[in-house]
Amino acid sequence: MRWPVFLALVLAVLAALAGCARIAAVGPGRVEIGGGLSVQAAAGWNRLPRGAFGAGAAWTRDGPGLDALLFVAGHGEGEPLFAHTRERKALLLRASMTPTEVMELWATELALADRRMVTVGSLMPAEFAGAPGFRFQYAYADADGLVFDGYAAGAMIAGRLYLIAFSGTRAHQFRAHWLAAAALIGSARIVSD
Amino acid sequence: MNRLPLLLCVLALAACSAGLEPMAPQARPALADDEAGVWLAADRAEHGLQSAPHRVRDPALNRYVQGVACKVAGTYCGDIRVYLVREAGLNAAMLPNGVLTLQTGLLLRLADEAQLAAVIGHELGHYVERDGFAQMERARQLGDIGAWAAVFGAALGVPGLDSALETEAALDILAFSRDQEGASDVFGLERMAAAGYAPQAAVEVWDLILAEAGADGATPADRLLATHPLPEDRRERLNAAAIALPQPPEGRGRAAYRAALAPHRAAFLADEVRLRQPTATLRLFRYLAERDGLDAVLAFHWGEVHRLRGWKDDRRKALATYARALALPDVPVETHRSIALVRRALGQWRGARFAFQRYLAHAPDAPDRAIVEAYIAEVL
Repeated sequence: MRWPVFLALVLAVLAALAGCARIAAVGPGRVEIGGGLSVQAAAGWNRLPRGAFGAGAAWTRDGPGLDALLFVAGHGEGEPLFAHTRERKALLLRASMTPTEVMELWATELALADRRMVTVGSLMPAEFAGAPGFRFQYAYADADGLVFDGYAAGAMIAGRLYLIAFSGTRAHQFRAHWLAAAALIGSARIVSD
Repeated sequence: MNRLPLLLCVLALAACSAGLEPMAPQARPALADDEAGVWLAADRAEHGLQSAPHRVRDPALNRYVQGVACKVAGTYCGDIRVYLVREAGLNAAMLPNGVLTLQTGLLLRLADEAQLAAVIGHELGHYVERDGFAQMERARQLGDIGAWAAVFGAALGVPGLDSALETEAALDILAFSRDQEGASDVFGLERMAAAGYAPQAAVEVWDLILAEAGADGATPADRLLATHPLPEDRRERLNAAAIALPQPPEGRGRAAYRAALAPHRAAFLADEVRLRQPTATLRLFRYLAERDGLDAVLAFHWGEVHRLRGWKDDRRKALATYARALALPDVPVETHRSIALVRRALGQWRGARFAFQRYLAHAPDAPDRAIVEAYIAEVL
């Protein structure tokens, strides 16, 4: 292979990799998340690179260090909430889990992801994607000592967990983007296969 | 959580302290000394620790532990500043400037004030002997004060300072030699004995670490022993030295220790449960029950480990353990809710409904009342 061709190939591969890894704007409009879950995204949301936070999909408005929207899209029996805990048998989902148990699992996942002073609570029944579901609040401090507030809503539908969680810094991002996040969560729809 | 440092020893700079004079009380290195740079880095780490969100701020508990530190430290009382850190690990660590951090998981595991004094005495030994100082060469190799602040930060999980290094790497850099550890063992024994504590408590601290090791492969005790292997004869030497010292029967301080910890014990137990290392946590809880007796709070959290694991026989074991909790005084009201969740999972609808109703009867203002009422409606 001649050098110019080889160089062009290398550049093409690098460009493709860079494209995979960058943060890209999403919406406005309805966006398919996966697992049959879709949401109506207003302007201002950005998709994080695949694998961010170990979630199936993760979005942000101001940056992943300041706020994050995490999606759990149709995870079933024996699957983890996040990819990095796949090997931990004690952290796998059970289709029979109650909202209380999902919230407890969420707290453990946060703690294992180096979040400190994790609290969860205010668990309430709430409709999610047109199905009976739940919502709860959470809070934590990250490794840099920033304190975050969070809100999660979800439902166990046909043995699969659908959940969307938004967290942002207590100082600004949570309050600033709470309405946008709530609107997005409220727009969730699930299309069964 | 992987950042949990797991040493039961000091973290300081500068080792190889051959020929160094012990640190004098109320002393601080002169600004022109190399050691001053080490202290400056530690001061930065301390500054981060002061505002760390995971620092336990309860004045009563801090006052109590600082008081024990002062009893052991004697004339060094003013040099040692204790920081309690909310972590489910079992680490104690000291920086060269006298900052002593204790993880709450360690407080949960200790039986009494004498064992706490043993840990503090050992750490004090590293401070007084300036054990880290001979690592100054390493400090020079590593670079500047900021780099060392990162090492301290990583080792202690101090916000804002720990991003450059993994905890394990920091601990490796800061590890002390076997001789230094042995010398601190002896120093600590003498200090605690002088303060009126039973020196045998120091041996018991090692015993509790060993009792917990070996489960789940990566428990706090396992990691401690991996980074700081227990020399085969260390416990025995410690034991022989302890036996040779007076053992004041009143030198345990068990009631005072338990009283100081009581307001936080349930939270510290919950921290262990949340790790979801069921084999290790069950081993720990069994050890605590055998040592201190089973109380309702411990029984509830023991049941929680089984409930959350949810293996084949776990639900039956969870119910049996909750039943033991209910037979004891001061049972946590959440026990009823957990019983209900297990019965629901087993398809025991009447039992689930009854337990949910009991939960709400005991906690009418429960923050999760609405969801529990939904569970009741579901199992009607």
